[in-house]
Amino acid sequence: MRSYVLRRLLMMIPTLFGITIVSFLVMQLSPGDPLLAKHSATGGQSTGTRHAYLLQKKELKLDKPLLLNARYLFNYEDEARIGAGVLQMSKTSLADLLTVIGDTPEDELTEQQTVQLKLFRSLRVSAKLNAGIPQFEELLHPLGLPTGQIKRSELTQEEWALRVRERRESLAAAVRDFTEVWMADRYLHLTPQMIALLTAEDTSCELKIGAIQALHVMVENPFTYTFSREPTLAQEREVVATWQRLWPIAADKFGEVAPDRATRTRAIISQIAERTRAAMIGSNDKETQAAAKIAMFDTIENEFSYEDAPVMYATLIGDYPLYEKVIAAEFLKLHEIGGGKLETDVPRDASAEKIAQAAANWRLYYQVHRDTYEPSVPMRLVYLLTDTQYGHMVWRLVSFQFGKTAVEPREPVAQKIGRAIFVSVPLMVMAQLIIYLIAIPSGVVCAVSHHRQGGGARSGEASQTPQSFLRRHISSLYETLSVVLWRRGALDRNLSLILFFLYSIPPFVAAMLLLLGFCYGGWLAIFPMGGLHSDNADSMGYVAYTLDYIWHAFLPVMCLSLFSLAGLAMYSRSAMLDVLTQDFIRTARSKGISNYQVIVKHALPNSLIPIVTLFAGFLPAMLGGSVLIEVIFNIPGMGRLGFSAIEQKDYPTLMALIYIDAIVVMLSILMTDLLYVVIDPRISFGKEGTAS
Amino acid sequence: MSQPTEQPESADRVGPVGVPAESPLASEVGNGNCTAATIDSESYFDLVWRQFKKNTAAYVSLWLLISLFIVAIFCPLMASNQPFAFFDRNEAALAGGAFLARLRLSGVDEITFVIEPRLGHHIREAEDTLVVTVRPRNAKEEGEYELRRVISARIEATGRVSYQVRNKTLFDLLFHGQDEQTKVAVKLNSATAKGSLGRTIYPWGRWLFNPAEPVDLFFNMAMIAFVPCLFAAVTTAAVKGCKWGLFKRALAPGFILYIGTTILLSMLFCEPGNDIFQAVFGGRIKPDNRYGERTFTEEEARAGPRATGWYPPIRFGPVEQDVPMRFSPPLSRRSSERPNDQHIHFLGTDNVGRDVLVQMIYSTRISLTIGFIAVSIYASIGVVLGAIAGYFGGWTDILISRVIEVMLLFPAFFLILTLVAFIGPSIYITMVVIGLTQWPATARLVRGEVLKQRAMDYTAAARALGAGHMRVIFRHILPNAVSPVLVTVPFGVAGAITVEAGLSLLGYGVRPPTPTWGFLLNQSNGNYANWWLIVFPSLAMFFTVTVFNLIGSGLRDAMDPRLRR
Repeated sequence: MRSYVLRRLLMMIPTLFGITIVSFLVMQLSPGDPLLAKHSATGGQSTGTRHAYLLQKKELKLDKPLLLNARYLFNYEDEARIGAGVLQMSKTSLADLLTVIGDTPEDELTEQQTVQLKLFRSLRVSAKLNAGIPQFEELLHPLGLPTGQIKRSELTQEEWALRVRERRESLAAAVRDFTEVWMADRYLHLTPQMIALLTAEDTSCELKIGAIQALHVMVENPFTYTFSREPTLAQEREVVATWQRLWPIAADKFGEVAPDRATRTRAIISQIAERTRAAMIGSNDKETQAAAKIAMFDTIENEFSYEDAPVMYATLIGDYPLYEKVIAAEFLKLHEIGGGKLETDVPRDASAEKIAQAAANWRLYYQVHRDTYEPSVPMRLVYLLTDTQYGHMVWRLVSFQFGKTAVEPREPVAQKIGRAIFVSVPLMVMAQLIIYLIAIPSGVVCAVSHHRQGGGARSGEASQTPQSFLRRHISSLYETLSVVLWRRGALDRNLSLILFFLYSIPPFVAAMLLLLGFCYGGWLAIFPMGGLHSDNADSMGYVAYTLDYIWHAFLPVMCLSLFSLAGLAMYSRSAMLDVLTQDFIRTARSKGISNYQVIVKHALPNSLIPIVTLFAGFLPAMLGGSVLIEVIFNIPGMGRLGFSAIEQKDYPTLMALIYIDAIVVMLSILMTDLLYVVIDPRISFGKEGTAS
Repeated sequence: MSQPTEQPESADRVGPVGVPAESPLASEVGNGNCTAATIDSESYFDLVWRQFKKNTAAYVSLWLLISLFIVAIFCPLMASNQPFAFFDRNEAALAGGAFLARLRLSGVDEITFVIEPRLGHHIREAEDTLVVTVRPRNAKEEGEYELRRVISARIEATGRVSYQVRNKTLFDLLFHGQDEQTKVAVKLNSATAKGSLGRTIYPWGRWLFNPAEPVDLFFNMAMIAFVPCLFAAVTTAAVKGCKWGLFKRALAPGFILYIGTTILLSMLFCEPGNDIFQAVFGGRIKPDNRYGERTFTEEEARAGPRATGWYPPIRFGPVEQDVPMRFSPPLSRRSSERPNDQHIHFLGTDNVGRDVLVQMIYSTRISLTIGFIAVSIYASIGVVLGAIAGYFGGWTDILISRVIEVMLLFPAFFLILTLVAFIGPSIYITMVVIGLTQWPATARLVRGEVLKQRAMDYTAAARALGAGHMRVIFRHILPNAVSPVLVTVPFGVAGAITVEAGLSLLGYGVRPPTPTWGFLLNQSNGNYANWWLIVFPSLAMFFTVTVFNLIGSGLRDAMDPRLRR
């Protein structure tokens, strides 16, 4: 038995794998990137929007290849050169280049131009699905004609040339935008090449400008000026490197600090650092931490002055505790020492000096972050498989890191789903309870009634076995009822018919009809139209709140349970009928046990065995069906969350929902499988691995 | 024990085709407690049918389903805004030129023809010549031109043209006459001709071939194909005599003939089919929809009490909008002033004024199509994959079983909703998505059944006789293993119809002009004051689902020997 359980658990691993594959496939069907689609529709896009888009793409790892990341094996030198070239060009000059490429037959292009054309073309396919540059060829060669054969049915030569030029200019804008996106997708591989371009002796000034601009596009926030909420040693290296670069610019403004002032400053620094550290590490309370942070900032602002900068810098680079460095960095940032910011972008007409400065900054950045960009060879092989969209998605799903939602406000998906689960789960549990509490008895009643159809009603004689007073009376009542009601299976037929009709009403139809009947209008409006709580629910007492909840939840729970209820009852009926025809029941009867005991003690437990497994079977239907019920009743649960995620194209939430639903079902199937084994001793644990 | 089932037709059919020998079915047949001895052959399906007929509810449901199909096939006969026939005065004036020319050739001097001034004709009077300028709204340039040319040519030829208006001057009639017919007599030489100019057009017939939705084309073709098939059936019955046995034998080929004709017609008259025909034979086979834009009921309303069209009983089209009448409750009529336009919206209208009753009638087509196509897609996938998994076992089985298990984990409706929302709303997408997501249950069922059959002796015998794997699976095992799948089909159809309605309710099932029950529910916009948009589609869906469920349970009982008492 233990080996069966173990095997069953091991089998979950491929299943989990399968779930991730299906989720991934479903997500790949999503109609392009909503942001990118918006981009190509409107043509242009503000830098801010693109910035946000690139950030979000990096966050969800959508910039990676789908299944196999072979980018680590390529050399992106040419691409880097061309990309920098494109970024460095103005829109007009890029349009000129496109004109040259477009008007020259392809076999007469220079080698560089061929590579450029190839790159431009590859921009089309690199963006997800068909969201790339629309009609690249048509824009490059208008009307799809080969070069030189321009059809001028109505236009003069000049007009035609103007139109072609217009098209190529819009293509130039698109090429620029998409080059940026394309490079941002491959920032891991292009950044080293760009740095190499900057370092190389023979690189022209224009190309350097392009490279710097490309780096600016590809790398978000290259420098760290201060520590994050939870400072780490890795951060320290970056921060120190940043200020080491900034300090020399401002160093000559400061004289020597007086020793006593320096001592005082040092003392205050270590004092607050200790206090902050204690607050941050010592307590888990968020408010205490925030208060300590605020106190720290206050002290930095009030206690120190601009002249303390050398002391601070010494603290930062010296061998001091981490939190003292935190304070020093905050101070330096506050007073904007050395301009407070390392220049990482240059305009197109920048002077050689500025270019050199920015280039130096980027080299510094690269030195600090070299490990990220130059992984070791074994790591490259690992990344080949793992650093892909699928790999990252599997990791996110398996580790339950669902990220943030795609719609404003961008709250964490887990939080959103958590809230919805707390709405949905009670409804589901109530529905399941109702299903089992009503379905099984009615199924049993039907079956018993049907069974009697053949055998005829038994007389209600008291059995020979001694019984308690209560039980004797219950059983005699039961016998009387059975004689009156269940003669010739009338009850079975009626109840079955009712169940059958219930089974035939789709739950959402029932929901709408119930809303129409019992919620809308005047005289029968006894239930609320939707929601789960009244407006003033927060001010209610405990009992009133519960009653209010039940009042609101009654109809939704009813709709959720009706369909499965009827199904389960019919199933229970047939299971009971199966059991009732078996020999041991006849044996029990022939021993003279009362009908009640035969049914409740002998038949019922045996008929329950197949029913238990149905628990997991109804769950997917219920989770899916709850979409409609929750939308109709306006309940903010899992189903409606899923629907609104579909409507708002909120893919992270959607993926998380599909995955969580599948996991829930998987766990419940596992549970019932194990339960099945426990309750039915007849089940063998064959080598097949399945209980049969 | 003798087994009076049909003997296997081919030698390689070793196994019991209909029923396994040890099953209680066989014993029942052999016992002679039924009329097996009198019937020449009692196949498995005869047996099931006999059992099925005993179940009154299921039997009635089967007939209800058939009538549902009849409604679906013949709904253009019940409801359409296009008249079967229409006496068209616009067309009359158009044809006038040709008519005049024909009369002149036959030597007729005087003709009398009717011009309806208010249908867009404009007649100008001149001193001694009659110039008739026809400007019908929907006419082509050529028609107008021709009439003028012919008349002027005639004037030149004879030089004697006069007109005569009965009782009134032409001018009076043109600008004051409201309801009277204007009659203009034109003398040519000395002869006189009588005859009303005009043409009867058949818009309904053209409209049949040009529906908005390809599904409609299929059903329209089914309606057209019904006529020859019925004729063939009646002829056969007349020639060979009306016998039950004959009917039973002819049922399956007749049905196949009917479906085949329908498919053939659909392929011929669909847009690509027409293009191919045009490429090969040089002419269109599909009638164009030249009257599709016209609103005949409007024209009739303006024409006054002289109705000249012959319409189906309900004069509303499935996609015909009437925005001023939006959200009208049941039994409301359009307006009381117009004598010709008194048609009642029996079940009210929706948010753009389309008639709910008509939409519900046409929805049966969409629902039945989605139900049956989706189920056939997933049943085929499920049967094939399940059979392969069950038959070959080993790694194939493990792989397919894993896939089945994984697919079963996802909440079906939510998965379908997501996929349909991603790919785009359309009934075809809905069908395919339902088909591609629902197959695992069938596959699991078939797999279990095939596992059972594989262990039986006849499979080994078939293998021993040298039959290939595919032959064993599809010719020997599957015929014995598909009956549980057949039982699930009616339930599956009901489920698919429900899923489609749910998707449409959320706005992701069909594209708007296509009428379905779920979309009607959607159009209530959550406003329960429009109760007719909720109650009637709900009832229709409840009816359909019940019918399918009853048939399903009847079939299950009939096929399950344990329940046969």
